[in-house]
Amino acid sequence: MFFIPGFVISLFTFPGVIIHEAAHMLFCKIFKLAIFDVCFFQLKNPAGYVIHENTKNFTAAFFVAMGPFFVNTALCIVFCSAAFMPVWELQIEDPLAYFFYWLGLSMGMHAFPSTQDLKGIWALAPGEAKRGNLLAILSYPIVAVLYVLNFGRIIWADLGYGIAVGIVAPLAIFKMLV
Amino acid sequence: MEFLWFILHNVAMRKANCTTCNTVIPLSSAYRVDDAVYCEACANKRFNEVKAAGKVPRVTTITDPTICAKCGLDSGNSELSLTAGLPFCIPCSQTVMERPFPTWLKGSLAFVFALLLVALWHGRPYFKTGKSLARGERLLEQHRYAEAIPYLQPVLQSAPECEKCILLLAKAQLLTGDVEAAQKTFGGRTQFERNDLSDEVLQIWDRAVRAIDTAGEATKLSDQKKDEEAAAKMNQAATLYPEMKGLSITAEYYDAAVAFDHKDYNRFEQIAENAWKQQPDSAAAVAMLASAVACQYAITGDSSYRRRTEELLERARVLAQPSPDDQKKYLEYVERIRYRLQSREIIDKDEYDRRFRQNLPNKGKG
Repeated sequence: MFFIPGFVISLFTFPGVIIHEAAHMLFCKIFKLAIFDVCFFQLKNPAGYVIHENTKNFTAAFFVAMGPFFVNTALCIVFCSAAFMPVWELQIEDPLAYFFYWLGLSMGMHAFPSTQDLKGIWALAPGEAKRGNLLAILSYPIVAVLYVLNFGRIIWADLGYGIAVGIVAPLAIFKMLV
Repeated sequence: MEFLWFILHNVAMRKANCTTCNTVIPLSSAYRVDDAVYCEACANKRFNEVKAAGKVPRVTTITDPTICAKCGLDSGNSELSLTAGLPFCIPCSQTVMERPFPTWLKGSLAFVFALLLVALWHGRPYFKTGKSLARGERLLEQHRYAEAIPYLQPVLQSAPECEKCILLLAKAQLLTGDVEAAQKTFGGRTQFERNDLSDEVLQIWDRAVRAIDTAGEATKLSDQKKDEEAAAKMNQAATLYPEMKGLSITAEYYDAAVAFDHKDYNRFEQIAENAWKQQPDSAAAVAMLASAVACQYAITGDSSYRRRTEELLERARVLAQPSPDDQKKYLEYVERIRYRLQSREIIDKDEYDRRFRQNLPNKGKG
């Protein structure tokens, strides 16, 4: 595994960082949580952040933390699906298609919620699960997998996720439509 | 005035005493380390001590309820209202609760949305091509090779560098026996990335090439009047590449020639009947059958054979009409078959030519 400084990766995939933070902020606004500070992109670690009010509302905590995962993944799927055929199947050298694929991959690469975000859900989930909150019960496996994948970032698990989503999802959609 | 306001507010702000050095510090700049209050320097010192003792210190900042957590405005002795658990002045409270998306971000998001539409619009023709490729591929899996070709041809026009598309179309063409079209599809390309598909297609290609080479050898043997060897070779070619119907048909013609040479007219007729069944609209197949039936007439004198020969010759004439080449061939063999009917003598084309067409170079059998 070769090492590339985080800021270089962030720089090359900056649309994904911005969308990730914008999704955090969007869900904070939807659930009417106070937003104390926002940084959509910087060449430092972390590449972006949203400092918001803590909440005991599990649904709000879940969607604020997981919002970027859903939004970035969805955008990754759409952009990669639009460019999948020329890039992977037809081997057509279309610069615009490659641009869309890069855009999709950059979104997919920054889909993972941070460990901090996951900790927030993890702390609230047991109590909510005991009360029979279905979302809390469902969140366990998702958070567990994402937690492990987050550690896998050092071995490019985030890029792997982006590529997997950018290939598998368009292929599945294509097979479904044809 | 401003100075007085500053003094008043600084006097009014809440203070705390550092547990270690006893210095009086503003509450908002104090830290709590495991329930004791410290100034920043002592908090750092205490933090390191606790950590060195192998424990995890709990560190929190302390908020002064009279000072805005965002802009630092000191409200004197009156406590600010709490927003999300922190004291904020009214403007800052509004800001944290209703923070708008920056204009540049709104613009960027609109741009991303527009790009999304462009991407989908841009991907439409590729999707169509991909759909055609998937259909062609599915038909190939179902062994419906001829039906797959019209789907795969436009794919290759849109994606001429696509190895998979080249290989799939070539496979469909080879498995329908169209070697010439497959050769055009390869376009002189012989190297492909090694995978199951390329291995399979190149194997079929190799088989087809070997069959055509063998058929070429058979033709040469036929030209040398080595009919039996030629028929054996042509049958070998037809077995090697059964997808090419032309090879098995030619093999039947060669077998017919061998039967004629051996004066086995029953076999000759049987082969000719079979060939005609396979190609009912071929003038050549009808002519071969007419020749075989005329042989039976010559041997038996049974007039029903003669009538059938005449019927077949008429059918061959009609079938040959659209093609000048077929017409020319018809005129050549009709003369010989009529001679066979009239004379009841069976001679091959070479002998006929020797006797009646000395100026015309030609080749052929019955």
